[in-house]
Amino acid sequence: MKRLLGPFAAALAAAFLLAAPAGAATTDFKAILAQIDKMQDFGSSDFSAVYNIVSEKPGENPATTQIKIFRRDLQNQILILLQKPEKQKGQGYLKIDDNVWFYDPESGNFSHSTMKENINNTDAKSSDFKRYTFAADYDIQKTEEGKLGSYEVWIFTLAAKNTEVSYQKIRLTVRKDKAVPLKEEDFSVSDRLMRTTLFLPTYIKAGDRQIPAKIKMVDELNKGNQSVLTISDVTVSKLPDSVFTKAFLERAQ
Amino acid sequence: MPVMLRIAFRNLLEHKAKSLIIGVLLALGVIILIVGNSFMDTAAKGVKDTFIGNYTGDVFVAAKNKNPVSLFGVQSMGQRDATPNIPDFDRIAAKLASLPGVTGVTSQVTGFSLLAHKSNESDQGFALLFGIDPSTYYKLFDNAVVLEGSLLKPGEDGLVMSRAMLDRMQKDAGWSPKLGETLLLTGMGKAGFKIRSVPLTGIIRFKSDSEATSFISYVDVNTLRILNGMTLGNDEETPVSEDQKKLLATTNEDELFGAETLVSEQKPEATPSAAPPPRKAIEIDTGAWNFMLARVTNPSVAPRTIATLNAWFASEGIEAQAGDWKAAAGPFAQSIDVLRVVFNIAIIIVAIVAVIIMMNTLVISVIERTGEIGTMRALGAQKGYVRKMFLVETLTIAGVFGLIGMALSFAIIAILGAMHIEAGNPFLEILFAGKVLNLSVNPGSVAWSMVLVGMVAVIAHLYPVSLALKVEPVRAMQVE
Repeated sequence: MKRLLGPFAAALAAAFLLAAPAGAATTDFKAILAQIDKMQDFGSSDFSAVYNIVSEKPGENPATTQIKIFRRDLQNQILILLQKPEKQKGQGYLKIDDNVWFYDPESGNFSHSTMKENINNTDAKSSDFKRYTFAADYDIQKTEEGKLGSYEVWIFTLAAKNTEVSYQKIRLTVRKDKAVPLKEEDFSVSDRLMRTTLFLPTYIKAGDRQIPAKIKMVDELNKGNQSVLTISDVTVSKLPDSVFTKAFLERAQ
Repeated sequence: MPVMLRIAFRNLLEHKAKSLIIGVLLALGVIILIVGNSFMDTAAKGVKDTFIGNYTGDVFVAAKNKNPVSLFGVQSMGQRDATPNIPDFDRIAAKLASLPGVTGVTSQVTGFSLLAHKSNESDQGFALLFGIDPSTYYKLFDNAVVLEGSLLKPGEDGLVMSRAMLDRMQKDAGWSPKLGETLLLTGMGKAGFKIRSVPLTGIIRFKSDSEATSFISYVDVNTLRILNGMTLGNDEETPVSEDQKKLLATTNEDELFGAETLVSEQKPEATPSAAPPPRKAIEIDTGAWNFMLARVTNPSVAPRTIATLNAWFASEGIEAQAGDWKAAAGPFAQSIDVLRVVFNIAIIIVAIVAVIIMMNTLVISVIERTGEIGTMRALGAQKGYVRKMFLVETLTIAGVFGLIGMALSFAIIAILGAMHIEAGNPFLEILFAGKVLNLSVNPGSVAWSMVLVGMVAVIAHLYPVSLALKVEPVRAMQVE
């Protein structure tokens, strides 16, 4: 099954271990996409990090959500544990292959879930924490050169090859000097801009990878709704097998 | 005027074919208007009676919101807005119960959830949940027939679903719960995902079932409050750092991407802890309700009650709003309005076409009568006389054929009634306002139809008359 795409994965794609400068006329754009996909795949090593998400909606105080992510790409396993706010502490998602469960610590029940829901009314979806598959799921429609702030960039217009992805069209802005996404604009089937994600050029070095430490997401459909994500406590060391189990979520209670 | 009438009848008889064309058009217009409006009125009454008697009551109270709020939640584009709780619930309940003509009040919470087997979470369905107070709800709404189990009882945890909903689940998802089976309800409320297990305690058939309302399932209100996140102590303040505030405030991308790449070292973390501090126990907000619904002695009392309540909310500074059954039924009530708008647009189009055809026919008639008009003018008939003559002719034809159309409409309505056309399905039952189509004639609609047809005839005759008045008497007599 094709994987859903998401900006978090793009963030992780910025773990530019093998980043190579891109030339102009001879640029292999497909290779850049494949490089983004490949470089955010942690392969045989595990990944964990704490995401602090501050969401802002018009007329409301900013709300903070803290989640801890555990990933094992080799076995297609993800565990997401909510740590803040207090009312949701202990809630979590567990994804093993194509099965996704949600856990409610108050009732001790698991429910089958999808990875498309937004996390705690933020602009982030649980699918955002999956691996990226740009090259597999999208065709390059157009490439342009541009500039974003002080960075020379390639701007890819990508069209989905299948209907299983979250967005049918994506405009992806990638640094020219390294295959690192800086901006992702997600469009609906009717070509309406739904969400803009900005991966700011601040990175955390974890092992031999660099992870974007600050991400800004703007809900383009509901003006004024936006979220800022800051990432900390990144590890790429081996996690215990027991992390990717229902029992771990129950114990985390 | 009798002279005018005699001339009019004589002219109409003289030009039988043209009179008949115009007359048939007018009669058809009257039939469409009277029978069509009769259908519309019957359907509107059916929908209104069904909603008032079964789900909404006569008076609906909800918290104020920027988007329309109905019994089915907040209507908003692109996002799921939580349905707000009624503020000052106890005061509003006391006020509502004290108003003259109010016979009963109940309260409700509305939510949505996924439904799944307790033993197999992957078998899922979708439900629209009404969390109710059984001690008052069923006194207001005698809307269901119990097929298995029972209706919700005060203080009992449980879920009551309609047979139609269960049949649909069986068809779509390949499973449906049995009475007594424990189900998992997964709600997405203000506090994120919540899962609760409840037994299926009753299976019902709605007395006025429809595709839309069969989605409604009743659940004990405390279960729904948890699913909706209507719990106490939810809104803790969490600090936002200056850096995060700055990022939220900055919209200029050049500024956001102006800085040099910054890479910081990350200290490797130890094995993840699986034992965070214990969480606080959940505390349900047992006083929280989304809506209040009231029945009144007589439908005519409802507007006054609503106006009194809204004035009281304004004077007391309470952020609540009162509305009628239409506000409560939300999108479902709008469907009948949409139907009426479509009907009215069709009528306007038909009227325009009728005006054009009639105008054409009258123009031909005027041209044929050029000599006659010229002679009349030569004999001293003023323009006003000619104008009046054509007006009387037009009104006569409109009156005669309008009455014929009206008589035919009554006959059609009577024939349709005598045919005992059965609704066949619950949706048509609502539109028919019963199991059999029994159209009623609204005298107002009949009067309006006659006026409209008269107006169409008058408008249609204006241009031909202007042509007739341009005829020079001498030239007209030469034509003869």
